[in-house]
Amino acid sequence: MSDAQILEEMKVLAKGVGLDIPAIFAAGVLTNLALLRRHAALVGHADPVDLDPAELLVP
Amino acid sequence: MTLRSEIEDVRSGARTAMSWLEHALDRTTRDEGLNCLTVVFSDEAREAAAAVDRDTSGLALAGVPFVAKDLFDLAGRTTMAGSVINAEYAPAHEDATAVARLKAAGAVLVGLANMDEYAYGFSTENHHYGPTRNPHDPARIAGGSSGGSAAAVAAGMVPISLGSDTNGSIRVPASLCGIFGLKPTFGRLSRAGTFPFVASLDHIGPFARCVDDIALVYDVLQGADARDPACAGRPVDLAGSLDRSVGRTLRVGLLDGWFRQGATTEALAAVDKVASAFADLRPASWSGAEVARSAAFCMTAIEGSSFHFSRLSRQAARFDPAVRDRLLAGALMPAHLGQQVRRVRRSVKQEVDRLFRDFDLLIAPATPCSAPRIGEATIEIDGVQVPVRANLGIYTQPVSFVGLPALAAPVDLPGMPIGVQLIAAPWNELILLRAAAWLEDQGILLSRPCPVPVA
Repeated sequence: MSDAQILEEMKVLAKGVGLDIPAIFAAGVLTNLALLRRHAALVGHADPVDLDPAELLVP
Repeated sequence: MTLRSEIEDVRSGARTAMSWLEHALDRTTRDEGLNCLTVVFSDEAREAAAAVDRDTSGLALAGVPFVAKDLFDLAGRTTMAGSVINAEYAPAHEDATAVARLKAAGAVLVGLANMDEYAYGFSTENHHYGPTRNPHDPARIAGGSSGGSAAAVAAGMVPISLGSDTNGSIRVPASLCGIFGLKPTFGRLSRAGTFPFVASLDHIGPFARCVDDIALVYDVLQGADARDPACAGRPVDLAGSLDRSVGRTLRVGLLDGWFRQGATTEALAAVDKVASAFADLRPASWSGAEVARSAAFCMTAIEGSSFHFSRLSRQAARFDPAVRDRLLAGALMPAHLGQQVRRVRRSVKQEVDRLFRDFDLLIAPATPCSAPRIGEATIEIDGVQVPVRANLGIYTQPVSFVGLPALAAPVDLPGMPIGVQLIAAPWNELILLRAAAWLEDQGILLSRPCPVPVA
């Protein structure tokens, strides 16, 4: 995707969650969004186990 | 002179709490440009020291000056948490439990310590309050987010301090400042009255310059607390006078894979020096560590942005820009990712539980390198330049993701300080403290005196 497309996608995502992200913040947010997505991809490919509600907090 | 003997001097009348406090106030108010504290409570501290001098009976920490990270509530004061936004909030009704317990034991609060805004960072280069400088080289960062707490102890301003650790915010600054920092098991110590960051990952803990001092404070901090629903109602497990002989008999694992990748030679030298002291040492593989780190990264952004959402939507421009951009990005992540990281956490925990069937203690670097320079935006990891703020915790994040107790401990090596993590199974903090005490006796762990004069 081009930078313009990524910026447009960010605006759509922000609108979807009720945020209005000013254009002056866009560069920093997009940098961090790309970093988060790389981590999320790794997490998405992990082989998790089902949650046990009793174990959500206490390790 | 140990903290115990200094306390005994106060209790016996050989020294006054007031004279100890005046020494601490002298050091903290001069500061020498380190920018450790955001506020000093001279008058209140003198009142507290005078009260200790009137009656020291039963005070385990009689007269000990301390500072707390600026996210611990103090009754009557608004908790800033390294922000400016919080100034509009009401003052706290009561002290944070940890602060209250230290005060009740006779410790004297000197001030509040600088931090990354809302604890989101590893550098304590706070946009609003300025950077906290490393006492071993003021051109370098102290680490974060509890950088002010760590630097104040490293500089000798106070013997102990309180910090918080969500992803490594006690262990990273402890490593970079060359002191001890304990992050206990998730749920061991009460977080009541601390400004939250990521409730699923937040811990609190102490800093000090030797193992016995850490143990002394840890004992005072322990205990169930109805004010913190995540604080486990487990029996207090007192360190007391540490058995310093058990180190030789422990089954010790030197974590490989993720925990060696990206580490500088100095970080590897530190872990290898510590590992070489143990007789029963084997390599230990934690295959899920990289995923755990990524999951912690995502959980932090998602939960953190959720907690700060109303502030982000109304006052984004008033955040520290580096914090704001990370939180805004977190707010844009899909909801299912939050569920996925919790499922991953359970699988990672299962692997770690298996690991501790074979080992009593694990060793890993605390940080990939010693302290970067202030203003340095990136560090090199595996030949790639990566952001400082996001990556100083690459070895601490997997550990706190599953709530394991860990002690960051300074290794006696030349050059800038660097520490290791000693890691144990949940609720086994005493193994950490005993192993560290043994290593201290071997001359392997040492918090070197700070060369910067705080005249």
